[in-house]
Formats: sequence, C-alpha cells, structure tokens
Amino acid sequence: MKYSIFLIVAPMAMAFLVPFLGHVMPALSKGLSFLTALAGTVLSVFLLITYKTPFTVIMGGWIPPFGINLHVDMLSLLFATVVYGAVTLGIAFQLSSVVVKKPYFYMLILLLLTSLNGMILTGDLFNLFVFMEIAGISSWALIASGNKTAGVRGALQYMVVASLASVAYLAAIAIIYSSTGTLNMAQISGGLREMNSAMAALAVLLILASLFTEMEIFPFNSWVGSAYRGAPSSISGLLSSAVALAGAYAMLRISYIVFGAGMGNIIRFGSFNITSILFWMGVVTVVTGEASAFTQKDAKRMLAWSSVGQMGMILMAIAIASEKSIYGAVFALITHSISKLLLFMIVGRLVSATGTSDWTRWKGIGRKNSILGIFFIIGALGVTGIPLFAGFWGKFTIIGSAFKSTGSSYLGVYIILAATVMEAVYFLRLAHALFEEPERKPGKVNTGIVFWTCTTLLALAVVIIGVFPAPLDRKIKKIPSELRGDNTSGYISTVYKAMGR
Amino acid sequence: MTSNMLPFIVIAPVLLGLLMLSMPKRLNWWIFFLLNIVLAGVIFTLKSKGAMSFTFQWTLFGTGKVVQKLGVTPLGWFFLAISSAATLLFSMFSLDFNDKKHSTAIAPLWLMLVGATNGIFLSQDWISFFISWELMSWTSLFIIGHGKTSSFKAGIYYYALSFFGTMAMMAGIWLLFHRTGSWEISSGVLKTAQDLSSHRGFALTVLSLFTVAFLAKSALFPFHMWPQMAHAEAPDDFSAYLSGIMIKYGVYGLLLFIVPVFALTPRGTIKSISGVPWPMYILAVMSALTSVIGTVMAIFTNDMKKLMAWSTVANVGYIGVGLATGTSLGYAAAMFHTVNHMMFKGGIFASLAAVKYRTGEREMHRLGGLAYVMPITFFTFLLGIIAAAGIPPLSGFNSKWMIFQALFEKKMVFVATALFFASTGAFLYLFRGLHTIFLGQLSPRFRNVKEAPPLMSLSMIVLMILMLAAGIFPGLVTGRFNDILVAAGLNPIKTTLYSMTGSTTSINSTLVASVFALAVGVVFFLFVIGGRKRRVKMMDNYTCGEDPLDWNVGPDRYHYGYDFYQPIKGLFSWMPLGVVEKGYNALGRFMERLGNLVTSISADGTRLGWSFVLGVILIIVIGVVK
Repeated sequence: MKYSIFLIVAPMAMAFLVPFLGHVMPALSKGLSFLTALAGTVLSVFLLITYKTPFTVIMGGWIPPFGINLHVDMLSLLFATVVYGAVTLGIAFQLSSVVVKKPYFYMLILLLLTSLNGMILTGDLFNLFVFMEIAGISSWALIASGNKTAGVRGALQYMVVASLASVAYLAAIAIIYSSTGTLNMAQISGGLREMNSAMAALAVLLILASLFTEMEIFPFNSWVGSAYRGAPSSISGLLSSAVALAGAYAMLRISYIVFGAGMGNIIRFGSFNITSILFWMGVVTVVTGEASAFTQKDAKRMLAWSSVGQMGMILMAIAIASEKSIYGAVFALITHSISKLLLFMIVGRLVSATGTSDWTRWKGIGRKNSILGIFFIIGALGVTGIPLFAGFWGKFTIIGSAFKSTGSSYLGVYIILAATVMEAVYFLRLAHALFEEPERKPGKVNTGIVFWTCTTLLALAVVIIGVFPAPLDRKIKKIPSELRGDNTSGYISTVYKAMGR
Repeated sequence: MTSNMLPFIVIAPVLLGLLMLSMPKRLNWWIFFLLNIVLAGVIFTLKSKGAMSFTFQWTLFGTGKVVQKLGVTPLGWFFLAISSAATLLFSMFSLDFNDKKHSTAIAPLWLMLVGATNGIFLSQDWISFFISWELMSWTSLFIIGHGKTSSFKAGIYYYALSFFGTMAMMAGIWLLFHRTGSWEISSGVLKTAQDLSSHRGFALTVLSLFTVAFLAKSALFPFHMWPQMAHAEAPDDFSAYLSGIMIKYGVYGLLLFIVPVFALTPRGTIKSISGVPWPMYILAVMSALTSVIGTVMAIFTNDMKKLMAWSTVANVGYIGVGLATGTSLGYAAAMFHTVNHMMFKGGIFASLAAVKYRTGEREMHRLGGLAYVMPITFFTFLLGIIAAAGIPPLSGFNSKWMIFQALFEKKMVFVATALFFASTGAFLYLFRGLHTIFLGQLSPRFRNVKEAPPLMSLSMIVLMILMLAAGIFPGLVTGRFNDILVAAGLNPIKTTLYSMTGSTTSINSTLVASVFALAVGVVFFLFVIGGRKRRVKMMDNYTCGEDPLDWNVGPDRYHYGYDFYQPIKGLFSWMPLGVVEKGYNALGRFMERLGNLVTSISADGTRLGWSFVLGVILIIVIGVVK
C-alpha cells in the first residue's frame, strides 16, 4: 500500500515538468496534466476498492516525531478520491472551454492537487501547514488568472485573510511544539490536555481561526464572494468541491485526533468549550451564508455563499461528534462536492454564453438548452438536500444526529432548518429563471462532448446516490469507528503500531 | 392485482413523467390522460383485495434497517380513490384545454406529481411519506411557475412556506424515530398517544412540528395567504387540481397523525376545553379564524381566480374545524367536506378555466352575461357555488350540516359562531362571482364566444352529476366512512343512503331534495303558464335614465361588479388583515439586510482584517459563555 505516496508525488513531479514541457509542446503538457489527474483518480479508486484496514506509511524510514507519516484510512482515501475526481473533471472542463489557458495554469492546478492530497494524507501538523500554504498560494494564483480585475481582486482578498490564518496556525504550532515536543497528530493526541489549559486554549483558538478560514466559516469567509466570482469557473468549482472539502477534512481530523483523544468527547480546556464553539459557529455560518446567498444576483457569488451555508452545517455535524453525525458530515461533504461542481460547470458555460454572471439576465436560456437546465435543477436539488437527490441523506442524518446528541442544542437545529428554507428558495428561483420567458433571444450555449461527459457523469452521480445510497453508505459507515480513539483499528493505535510501539 | 401494483402506481407516473420531458407536448397530454385512466382503474380494484402492502428494506447508517412500506389503509384508500377520480376528470379537461394557444409544458411534471400524491396516500412509513411529500412540493412549484416570472413569484411564496413546514416535519420525524426506534407511522401514533400522559412536553413538540407541516400545506392560519397567489397564478387547468386535491394533503396528514393521537389518548389525561383537548381546541380556533379571513378577503377580491382561492381557504377552515372536534361526527364531516370541496371547487375552477379559455379574462368586472353563450359552464359554476354556499339539495349542504352538528355536540359556541359568519359571508362572494361573470349584460366583445370544447364540457358535466348525487344521496359517500373511523379508533356514525344522523337530529337529504325539486317544478310551471312576457334588449334597463358619462364614469367603472362590496369594506377596516403577510415580508427583508451586511465586509480591504479579528473574538465569546 506504499502506492498511496504517489497520490502526492505524481502530481508534484508533473507540476515541475509541465512549465518546461509547456515551452516546447503546450498541448502535450496540458494533456499530460489531465492524464496525471486521471491516473491518480484511477489509483485512488483502486486503493478504495482494495482497502481493508487503515495503515500508516512512515516516510523515509524516519520514525515520528522526527519524520513524517502518511495515514491512509477510509476517510482520507474517500476524500482523496473526491479531490482527484473533482480536479480531473475540472481540468477536462477547463480544456474544453473557449478560453485557452497557458501551461502554467495547469501547473498550478497540479500543485493544488498535490497540496490538497497532502493535507488529506499527512499525519503531521507542520506538514499540514506546509501543504495548506501551497494550497493557498496556488489557489490565489489560479483565482487571479481569471477575469482580470475581478480575479486579482478576489485573489487579493483571499490572500489577506489566508495569510492571517497561516500566521495564526504557525503560532499555534509553536505553542504546541514547545509544550509537547512533537507535531505528530497521533502523538499530540491527548497531550493538549496535559498542557497548561490557558496555553492549550490559545493554541486551539489559533488553529480554529485558521481552519475556519480554510473551511469558509463566518466571519472568516468574507473573501469567498469575490474569490469565487473572480476565479475562472473551473477554479470556482474546485474551490468549493476540493479546497473547502480539504479544509473540512482538516477540521475533522484535528478536532478529533489532536484536540480530543478520539471522537465522541466534549472537548474543553479549562472553561473553554470547543464543542460549543464549533456548534454555534456552524449555526451562525448557516444563517449568514444562506442569507448572503439569498441576496445575490450574481450566480457565482450565490453558489459561493451556498457553499458557506453547507460548510456551516457540516461544522455543526463535526461538533456533535456522534457516529451518526460524522457519517452525515462525510456524506454531505462528498455529495456537496459533486453537486456543486456540476452547478459551477453549468454556471461557467452560462457565464461565457451570456457574458454576464447576473442570473436575472439568463432568463429563458434553459428553453433552448433544456438538458442544461434540467442538469441545473438536479444539481440545485442535490445541494439543497431534497429526497431522491444526493444531498438528502447527509442532511437528513446530520439533523437526526443533532436531535440525539447531548453536545447540541435543539434551538440551533431549528435555526438551521429554518435557514435552509432560504437555500431552497434561491436555488429554485435561479433554476426556474432559466425556463422563464426571455426578455431577449437567448443564444445557444457552447457545449461539447467533453462538457457533456463531465456534467452527465456528475448529474448521474447526484441522482444515483440519491436513489441508491447503499454503495456509498457501505464505504462511509466505516469512518466513525476508525476515528474513535479507544479501539485497536483507530487512528492513534494504527500510527503507534506503525512506529513500532 | 398483486401488491406489486402499489409501487407501480407510485413509480410508474414518476418515471413516465421523466420520460415525457423529451416528448412532444400534445402527445404528453394524451399519455397523461391515458395513464390516469389506468391508475384510477388500478386504484379502484385495490379495495376489493383487502389489506395489502409492499415492503422494501435497506439499511441506513445509525438507524438500522429502514423498512419502507407502501400499504392500503382505509383512510389512504379513500383519499387515493377520490384524488385519482378527480385527477382523471381534470386530465380529461386538460386534454382539450391545452390546445395550441393555451398549451403549457406542465404535463410531465404533473404526472410526476400524481405519482407523488399516490405515494403520500400509500406510505406507511415516514421515509416514504417524506420522499413523496418533497417530490410533490418541488414539482408543484415548477408547475405553478410554468415559465412565467409573475407566476413563479406566487409559486416560490407557496414553496417557501411549504418547505418551512417540510423542515419542521423532518425534525418531527427524527424526534419520533429516536423515541420509537421505527419509521412506521402507526407505531409513531401509538407512542405519541402514550407520551401525551408520560412525556407531555415531548409529545406536544412532535405534534406541533407535524402540525406546522400540515397547516402550511393546507393553507390554514397562519399560512393562509399562499393560495390566493398560487391558485390564481397557476396554469388555469391546474388550479382545479391545486385547489381540489393538493390543498387536502395537509388534511390527510392531520387525519393520519394528529387526530388518531388524540383519539387514542384516554379522556382526562390532557386538559380539555368544552370536551375537546386543548391543542385540538386551538386547532379549531385557528381553522375558524382561517375561514373568517378567507371569507372576508374573498368578498373584497376582484380577480375571479383569487376570489375562489380565498374561498378554498375558507373551506379548508371548515374541514379543519370538523376534524379538530375529534368526534366521529366531526371526523366524518371533515372527510365529507373534503370530498365535496374536491368536487365543487374542482367544478368551479374548471368553469373559470373554461371562461378564461374562451375570453382570456380574469378580472370579473370585464366579464358578464356569459350564461347566454356558455350554458354548461354556467350550470357547473351555479351548482358549484350552491354546493359551496351549503344550500340543499347539493352536496355542500350535507357536509356543512354535519360540521355544525359536530360543533353543537361539543357546544363549541365561539367556533360555531365564527363558522356561521363565514358561511353567511360565502353567500356574498359566491353570488357576486355568479352574477358578475355569468349574469347581467353580455358585453358585445363576447357575443361570439362559444361553449367550452367537448371534453372540457364532459368533465364539467360529470362533476355536476357527482355534486348532485352526493347532495341527494349522502350515503354514497358517508357510507364509506365507518371503516376509516374504526381504523382511527373512533365509533362508527349512523348513516343511510338517504339520510344522515347528527348529534341533535337527523336529516333526510333525499326528502329535502325532492321538496326542493317539487318547488322548482311548481315555480317553473307557474312561470310557463304565467302572464304575458316581453323580451327586453340587454342595454334597456341599465342606467335608469342617467347617462353614465354625466357621472364621469367609463364602462369599466360603471360595471356593477367593480368594487361591488365597497360599503362592506368599511365595516371590516378594523380587522388587522394582512398582518401575517407583513410579518413574513419583514422577515424576508431582515434576511436580505443580514445578507447584504455580511457580503459588504468584502467591499473594503481593511474590513477583511477586522472580520478576522471579529471572528477570533466570536470564538472566545462562544467558548467562554457556554
């Protein structure tokens, strides 16, 4: 199972190769980047199929805390697969669009791919920081490559907040390292409790601030509107379906493995209650995110804020920390990635066909391109969590877990349920607008075989997961037990075993 | 007919509807009609086979086995049967309605909606119920919107309220599941009934969450404002379905879950007001309030579809009052009125669709005298409003009589008074509809208007026959209720084909109808043999010697239908009508403001940094406070 290292190394190696090759044969370099992503997808799917028990790969024979370990369990494999799948489709979508990007663009996407997989697979806090930085830098550059002023504006806004976040994260690492002497997640686990509780609380506060930025939690998410708006549509889709996903992954991992020793405990340091922070920040994010999306006339901004709302719900699920809520959170994250990527692809084509991202001016465009419109409806219902579409089971399970847990408050759940009404309204409002009587004659949207392959795959995935959740269910239901701290197949014991202790 | 037919009547319409998205419109309407024949046939043969069910099992993490079960209960079959029969009539109506000029592309979605409706009435577990419920919600949203910006505004208002209810239902379903460990509806009912004595707060929470969902769907107070938008803006042929069938989902839900819970609770476990458990008393008051509001608003409305939508609201109020009494009589009355409302409001909306089909007008004061050119449509409307007003010998009288009997039994004076008020008000607006649209002067513009096309007329004629039949022989409908009442834990009611027995007296509707027919016969005879008749021209007796232009009024303003009840309007000016709407609008505006505030953070670079600081403070505050 050492192949899992290729998930990180292969795109990184190709990222170095692409700019040089791009000077000679641009087309080949682009094709190679697509193939790399595709090969990675195949590899991760292969690993997913053959997966039996969690395993840890010690890098270079250096035992932690001196070296770094990669941890492969169902959670990380599943997320790596989603990231790979999303990036592959994103590259394909970008290749098929009218705007031709330079090879550097694909180099950046490969770097992003490397760093996201690194974030997902690594078992080391500092290594995570490095990958988060790479992810940040490559995303800024990718966002800036979009529409000139809007792209740069979005990239700068993201950069301001993300830089603050990375400083905060680095400071937290320093505190933790000085107290525990290690940065390996499994080794720290529980170590925070033995620290001075004020210091521990400070470290947690700083880490939360930075992870919230990555995960688009209010009020660390002020950048999302401009960044998603300015980025090329393929990148907006990846920001939502891969970058935010990796952020949520880091949140899951760190809150269960680093803050608490395994999931299921209410985590508190002194009088500082982490569980309620996560829960209420989630609630606030859902309300503000859905309200912001509700006001948007700009489709890409709307989708961006809708991602924020989803992430808020997932953060709430992470806070509840019961087996069912983890299940719901992972299910919701995966289906959200699929549906949101589909929506961004369609919106991207509509933007390039009409020259505007103001959806009120897209009226009637679905009458000429009815399948496009139907796909949009599928994606919208998928994100909103309507039964028979993918998002439902995740949302349903999260709400169910919230009504059973001691760490949650019914009030918060009711608030979230009421806030999702806005989500349904703005999505279906846009979906219906596509079929309304046009003010002027809508043009034909430029599509192609690649575009249709990508969107059909995604739309089918949304419907199939919605109607038959069982295959995905079989994978995801392994995750909660692997996140527990007390059993032999859990994260911590697996890492210790690999270290020979 | 095996139990495999149960998933068929749910899934086949949905799949065929999806397939129809790629087919030509005209063909779709035929498929829609033919499939409805098949469905109605299947559904009517189901009953004779007795209890049957179809189960489908799978596992969802953390909840163990999910048993999805479709089955035929007496209540479900009854709703299924009446809705499939009505759908068949409406689909026949639509077949002619959707010609080249009036066609809409809603047939595929409508077929999916029919499948969802069957799913709702067949579901024996909350998962299937919820899935069908949501499928019904969003398909109906797109039908109401049907590609028109203005219609969609109405539709999304409806959908937002309905989705709010659905989310409440989701919470309720989970609370119930955690308590019972099963998704089954019947075990939920039993457990909640027990909990009313042992865990009162919990049981009331569950009941109110479900009630919100059902009230939102049935447009009972405080969700009473959406029909006047959605019914009015929906495609004309769909309005009949919307008002006839869709408004009854909530009624079905109340009958399925809320009423049996209180029926199973032993007397005395929960405080009661005039013999009715207090939550049900509140429901009765809210329903009565709904019918008062619906009536008053209908009186002032000038748009004929809006008028009838408000009338629907008022009628759902009667149904709600009936079932809130919790007695056998009230339960039966509620179901009877449900059937009747389906027939007469279906007939009325069908006739309005026919009027709009021929004239293209919706504002009543632009119409008039259409009885001369559209007699069948006129008679449908006439019988419909007689039934709606509750005048014998039509069906509405019977069910209203039963509702009032149920109220007398419980001595609910306040609610009965409110309903009497609403019933009287109904005369005002219904008569106005008849008079303004069909009687009086026929505008020269409409002299060449023809009767509705044959299939439309045929379905209206069938509806008329049904209304008369249920009016003269109430036992045709009430005879079916005893199974349902027994299944819900209530006593059967006394009824024969000809008569109904209430709490104070009984009434023989057939006799009443015969007397009525005799009286009409005598008057007609006198009219025929009576004195000299003189035909007058239409404009003859119109202005009493005054020239309207002297009064500075044009033909529109002068029409007797325009602002007809202005004097009465003053009487009701003290009523805080529209308060709830204003509340919803304020909430919407607040959310927009909140959204604008949040998004405006990114307008300025320095704010980004401050937002980060704000976030850190927020984390600290939440962490320390809790």
